[in-house]
Amino acid sequence: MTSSPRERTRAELERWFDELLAAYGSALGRLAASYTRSAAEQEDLVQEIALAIWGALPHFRGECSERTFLFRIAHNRALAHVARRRLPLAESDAIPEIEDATPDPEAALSSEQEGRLLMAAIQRLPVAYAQVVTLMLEGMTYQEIAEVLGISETNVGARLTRGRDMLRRLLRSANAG
Amino acid sequence: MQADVELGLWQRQWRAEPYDPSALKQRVERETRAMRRFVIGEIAVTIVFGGGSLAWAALSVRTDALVLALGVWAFIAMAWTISFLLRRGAWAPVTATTTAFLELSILRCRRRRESIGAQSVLYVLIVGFDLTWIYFARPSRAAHGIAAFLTSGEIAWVWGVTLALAVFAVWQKRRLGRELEMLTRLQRQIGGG
Repeated sequence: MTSSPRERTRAELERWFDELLAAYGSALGRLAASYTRSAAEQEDLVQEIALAIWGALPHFRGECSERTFLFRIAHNRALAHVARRRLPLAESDAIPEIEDATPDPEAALSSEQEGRLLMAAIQRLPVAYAQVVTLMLEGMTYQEIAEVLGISETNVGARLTRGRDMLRRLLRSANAG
Repeated sequence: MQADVELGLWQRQWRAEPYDPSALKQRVERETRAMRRFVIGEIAVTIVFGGGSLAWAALSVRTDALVLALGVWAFIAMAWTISFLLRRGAWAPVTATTTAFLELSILRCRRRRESIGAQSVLYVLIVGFDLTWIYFARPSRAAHGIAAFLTSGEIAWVWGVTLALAVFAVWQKRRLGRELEMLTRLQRQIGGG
């Protein structure tokens, strides 16, 4: 997409939207899941995010990367969704207990089970840490994470260190459970 | 290097989380159509009431029709002014950084909560104006009097709607209060820096 936003026709915007959904749809689904607690809630949030992206596309001026643009919208919509629906928040840095998603602790975990366990652990992180951790898991750099959230790179580093530590302990307690 | 191995493992597990976005575009299109219909509905209400009252005043050349048209347009202007004043500086662009978005969302939520009071006053003024207009437009007003008019069966629905709107306003104010509390908690957690 090289033409300026003003020149884009509706057909071009639709094609661009399709490309973005194909490239980042799964990432948006994972991000929505990290904020929500049920599949229905996740679906609602992904739809809100996609709608916001569609509405914002004509205004994208290329001042940041497409990925940064998309994740900003996604996190902002997710926060608004959490506030409106009053979804539960992990309040402090204290590590809560995590339910074990594995039926048999002796058995080796499948990658899907491990994925579910990781998601469950991230859902129990306080929002400030969950945000940086999920962006890191999507492969973003410190600079990109800082651009999405509007915090300094130093702050990103500090939150990542603390977030990873909390996540590690949560996963350990789940695996030991 | 240990940390990178751990990160790589987490990233593989994270990306194994299945999500199929294929039906998303259809849902967005459906929602966009619904939003467009809502905006068209709002414009239609302004055209029907504002335009209709003006057309009636122009065609009938009656003083009461002119008073009604002036009243309708005064209330439309007041509603738009209140809406403009409450939204001023509180528009939260969805593409802002998360920290900036939260600040503006809190401001917008406060304004929406405050606007319930202004909207209630506007509603009282509109109902007062409409009832006065209807009362003086009735040929039988002298025979019955104001009290009988206000308690008559044909006006009862106005009080029913007013009660329903009052309950809705209280519920909305509480809901916005809880939303504001959540946004403030999120801002406290996320902070900045």
